[in-house]
Amino acid sequence: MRNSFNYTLKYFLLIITICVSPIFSHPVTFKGGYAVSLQSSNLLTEGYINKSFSKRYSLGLQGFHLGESNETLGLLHYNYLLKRWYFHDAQANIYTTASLGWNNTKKTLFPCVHIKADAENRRIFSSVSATIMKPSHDYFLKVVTRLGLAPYKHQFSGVSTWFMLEASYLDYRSNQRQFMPIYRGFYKSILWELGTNGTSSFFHFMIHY
Amino acid sequence: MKVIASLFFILIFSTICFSMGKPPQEIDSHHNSKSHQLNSAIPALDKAITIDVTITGMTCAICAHGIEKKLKENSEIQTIYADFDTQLIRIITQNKPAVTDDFIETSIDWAGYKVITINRY
Repeated sequence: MRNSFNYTLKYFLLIITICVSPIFSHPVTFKGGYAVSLQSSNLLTEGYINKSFSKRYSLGLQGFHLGESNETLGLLHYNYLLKRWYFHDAQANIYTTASLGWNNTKKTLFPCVHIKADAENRRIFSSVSATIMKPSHDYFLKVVTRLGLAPYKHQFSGVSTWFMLEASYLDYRSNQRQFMPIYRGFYKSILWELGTNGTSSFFHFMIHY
Repeated sequence: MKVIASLFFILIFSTICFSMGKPPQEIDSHHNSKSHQLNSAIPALDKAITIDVTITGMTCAICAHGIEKKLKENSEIQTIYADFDTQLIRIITQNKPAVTDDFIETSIDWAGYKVITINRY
């Protein structure tokens, strides 16, 4: 029974990680814009494509493979830019995402709701996101925060560099916490991230066009 | 040891990237129509029209890329330059009537940003 519980918990942890992982810095870009993202970590390999139909909303399709459980899943995302604040050389945003997932291995559907707020200028980046779902009788909550600093102010034609620290908290029958330092760089419409904390690591690549 | 080596590599890589970026270009905001000076990154073109658009909230290359992409849907626009320090988008065209204020405002709105001023030279 304990093994079954641990497997169930691990399964839902992976589901939540998947729900959170595609929520990159700008889930909604510009009208008619596409974003393609690839991510690989100890737990999964993921591909994600997203199209913004207006400056307010986008639809995304995500597919990934879970290495440990050998499962293949797909998710359909509806991303909405709830509010954007404009400042000189800075912006702040609130995004919401509603997702419907399909486990092709277990033949089951699952819902996922996500909200994210971020504020950034060319030197400081901050974000906080929360994922909520109800996979069983209990509610599941995961909160992720990121704080990033840029060593220099990037220009339009240069490469942007960020050093970030990500802290995540998970509450589902037990509490779990994780910290991970991340290096992020981007050049024009290409973004890449590398992260490791000694026990886990990940690589993320994204391009807008 | 591996962590130290990784950090060292990231710092070196960042320094190289920093050196690749161009320094902020001076944009003459006090324009004189008789002695107009183009930004050195933009080639001088006979009969070229410069349109300076001031926006707000542009913080990253992805933001600027979206603005550039929407504006370049107009084939009459030859060059676009973005300056983060002054929040300025500079448009170069040789066909002034084809690049209207409405088109500029709509394109930048579709990219998710707000136009503050539009100045034509």
